[in-house]
Amino acid sequence: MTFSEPSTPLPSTNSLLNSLKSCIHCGFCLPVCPTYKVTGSEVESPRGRLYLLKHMLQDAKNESDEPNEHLQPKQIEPHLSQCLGCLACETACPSGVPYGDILHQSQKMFLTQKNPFIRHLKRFFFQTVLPNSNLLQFGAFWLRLYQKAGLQRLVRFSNVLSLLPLIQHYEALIPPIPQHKPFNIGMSFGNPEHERVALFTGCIMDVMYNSVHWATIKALVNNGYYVTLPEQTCCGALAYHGGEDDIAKKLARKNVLSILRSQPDWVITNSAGCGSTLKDYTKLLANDGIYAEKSRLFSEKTVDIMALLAKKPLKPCRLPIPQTVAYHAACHLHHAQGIINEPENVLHQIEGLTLLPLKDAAFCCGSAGIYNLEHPELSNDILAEKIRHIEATQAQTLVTGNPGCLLQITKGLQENANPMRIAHPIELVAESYSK
Amino acid sequence: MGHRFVLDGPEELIAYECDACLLIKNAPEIVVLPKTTQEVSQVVSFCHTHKIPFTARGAGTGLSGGALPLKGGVLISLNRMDQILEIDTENHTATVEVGVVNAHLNQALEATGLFYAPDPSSQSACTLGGNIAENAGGIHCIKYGVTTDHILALEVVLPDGKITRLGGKTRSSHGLNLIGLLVGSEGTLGIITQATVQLTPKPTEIRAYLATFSTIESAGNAVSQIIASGLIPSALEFMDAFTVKAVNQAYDIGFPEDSEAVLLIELDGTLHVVLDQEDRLMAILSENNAQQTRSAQTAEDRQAIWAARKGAVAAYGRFQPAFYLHDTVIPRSELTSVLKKILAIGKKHQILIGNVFHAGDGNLHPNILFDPDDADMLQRILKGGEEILDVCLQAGGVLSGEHGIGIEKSKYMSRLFSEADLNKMKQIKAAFDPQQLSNPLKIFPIRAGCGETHLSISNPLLTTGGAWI
Ligand SMILES: Cc1cc2nc3c(=O)[nH]c(=O)nc-3n(C[C@H](O)[C@H](O)[C@H](O)COP(=O)(O)OP(=O)(O)OC[C@H]3O[C@@H](n4cnc5c(N)ncnc54)[C@H](O)[C@@H]3O)c2cc1C
Ligand code: SF4
Ligand code: SF4
Repeated sequence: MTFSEPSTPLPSTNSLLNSLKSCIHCGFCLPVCPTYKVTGSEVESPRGRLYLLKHMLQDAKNESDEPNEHLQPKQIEPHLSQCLGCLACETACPSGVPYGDILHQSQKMFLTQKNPFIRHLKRFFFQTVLPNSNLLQFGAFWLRLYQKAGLQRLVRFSNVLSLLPLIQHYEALIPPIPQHKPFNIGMSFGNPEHERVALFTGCIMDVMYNSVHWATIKALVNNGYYVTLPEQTCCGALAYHGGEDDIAKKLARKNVLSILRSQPDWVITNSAGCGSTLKDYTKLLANDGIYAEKSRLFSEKTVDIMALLAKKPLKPCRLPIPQTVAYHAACHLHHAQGIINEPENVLHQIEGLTLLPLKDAAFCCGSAGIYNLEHPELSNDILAEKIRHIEATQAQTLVTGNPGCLLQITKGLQENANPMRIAHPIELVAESYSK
Repeated sequence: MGHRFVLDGPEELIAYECDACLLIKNAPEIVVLPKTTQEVSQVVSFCHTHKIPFTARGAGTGLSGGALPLKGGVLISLNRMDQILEIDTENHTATVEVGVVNAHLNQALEATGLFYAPDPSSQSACTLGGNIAENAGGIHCIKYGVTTDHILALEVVLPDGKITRLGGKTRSSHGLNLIGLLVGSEGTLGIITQATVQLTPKPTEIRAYLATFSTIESAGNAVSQIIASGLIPSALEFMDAFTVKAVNQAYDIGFPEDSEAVLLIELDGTLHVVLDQEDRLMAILSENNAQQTRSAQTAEDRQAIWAARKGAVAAYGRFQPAFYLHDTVIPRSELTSVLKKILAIGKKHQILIGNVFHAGDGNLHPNILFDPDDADMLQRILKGGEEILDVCLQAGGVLSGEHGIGIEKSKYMSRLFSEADLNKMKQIKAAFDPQQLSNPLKIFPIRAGCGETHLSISNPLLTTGGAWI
């Protein structure tokens, strides 16, 4: 079977080289890079990755030298593919290297290096499965049944999966699928006279953490916002991070049009990954006719739930929450969106709640989209670091604002049989408004 | 050691072909990432038996090409040896593996009321092993001393693979001071694997100030007067207007941009002492026509100032892709005249030069910014670099205050040392490493025609103006 390559325009070598030149090789980014930390190898560090990319592009321009000695894309692609995209290096870099942009450009460049079968499978998943909430809910229904009806226990007990090691591996990664309390597009909550927010529900968030949406709505309404649920689709993060810009663009256009139509003052996300992608629509659609201006407007209105609540003092809470809480800063909030103190500033206002410091709070947990599926070993090593620090806090509850992190940390704590509670910070805010 | 920790793919080796000095490159033939002293010893023994050169590397933040394997061979990267083995709050010592990052040690010390004083600007990334090998200095070294003043004991893998321990938890003065010899030896006398370092109690009161000046002279005079008055600030740093601009772009710090020079000053001690010093400092600053003086209001403000100062050199990357810097120490009385000459050289050759340095120590860091792909500019910066070095040496300066000689400054060694002095040093090197395997071709000038032809001649620093290759 052969596949034709979907065409993605290649980034210009010159502009990429120019961005790469801003790296002066100081090494300040090394200690914050999770893959460098667990491998010890500079090839798996931001500086190493940038250096190799630059080397490769310069080699390609230098036709005069010996082409046999040129670095080839296939030598470099594996090291870039092992990058989490956590952007901790961008935060640490005094030279302002646009690492995220460089990574994205290089991913587009390396698409042709990928196994075409896997690539097409992924594209199918990105454009047909994720944006289709009915299909997702349908899948979730069967998985839930598989887990609840004791079938999972039976399958695991009978050990039939050991015959199919790959499937066994992925089966183990499937988290328990919670009950889903559906809401319909077009629903609204609160007083229509109040500031109007459109809730962006996302695909995975909606299946796995639908309860977080309800908590978000409750917290917003209690704080004087009018919440609407306009027509929308998947944000396109996975396609975008995978360099499949054509798919990401289609989804972006849909979201921009239909959500803006609801005339929101704010577009709210409770998923760090979705939020940072929605904000990147400006870049993604920058040269896309009428969408250029609309996406700018859209991205300006997009705000994470905790950042919105941090803008004003919380409306008086009714219930104290006497818990010790540690906050894990999701990369896509902390590094990608620069939302650093807001979540803790909000939590701080809840009576009885004690925040405990988490060492290296903004060090990635190893989830990173589908990274944990693609690079399970590295992902687990990174997770182990994270869990070590989380356990050292001895907090009762660990909070974090991203579904990928919630899933990954849940898995890590479960493996250690640690009963610590894991929640989205907005859930604690919502709980403080319960009767 | 496990296959995972041995790297030999062509692209993997390329990632190790240079440190933070982008002027000279040479890739190793293999990279090993040991986790224990025993593993280091096994690798070094193997090299000894088979006469293979080896070079130590920490975080590769060095600025003089120290960690690049000029003769190829084995690169021993020590960053995985990153355990803090003991913090002894009674004796004020810490024992660490050499791969521990400088700043991580200080983070671990936070609750103890103690700190490890030498704080190179690269401390968020560089390793203690690299600090020891380069005898690193930093912002607070004017008061607290440089690395060598804080090393009590070392564990070393000698160039034949044997493991030895020197020193203990207290200072001693019997026998030759081998620790003193190893600190600053740039990896040429063996590989350091562990160290016991001296910790310092944190002062109870710390205050930081910023003063701006309309001329370089007035800032330079203020520095001289501060030191002459007997004040010992815990930091005294200089930034020129260009550096202020770069730092403001990189950090949300808002240093005033309307002046020619900025001094950052810190006083510490007991409240009583600091208040007294503050009065004297303010008098000196106003006497030298400081335009504005501000003080950091909170500990966070103070930390933000120092973080911005420490990021200054890397922030130059916003203007040009590489920097080439000298690291001379001159008598403080010469500060103003040397700085003015440096700026004139910059103008003459049309090169961007940023000045940010440890003024209190007279440790200048003229950073020449350039684009390695621009051949013409490369020639100009090398020419300008030579002239700057001449000016500094004529003013009684030395080659390196804290970054080491490595390969980048080795050809200038014969300008400071006589043949006889260099020979004595070489004899010491030979006593440790008769086969010349440990970080070969470093520190000492490479003689022309001595058979090192495999060195890429595109290394401009090795070839410009001089009898050395
Ligand atoms: C932006 C910037 C700012 C800087 N500011 C300062 C400053 O303020 N003060 C200062 O002193 N330096 C400064 N430096 C230089 C550099 O950070 C220091 O020299 C640092 O000590 C190097 O540490 P490293 O771990 O990166 O060592 P590397 O660069 O990896 O190695 C440096 C040398 O040490 C040797 N070495 C490393 N580890 C060992 C070991 N375990 N045993 C034996 N030899 C070893 C190497 O062979 C090499 O010769 C700065 C660098 C940069 C990029
Ligand atoms: S911190 Fe920035 S400039 Fe320095 S090595 Fe990393 S990416 Fe390059
Ligand atoms: S994005 Fe994260 S994993 Fe990738 S190089 Fe930067 S710090 Fe490392």
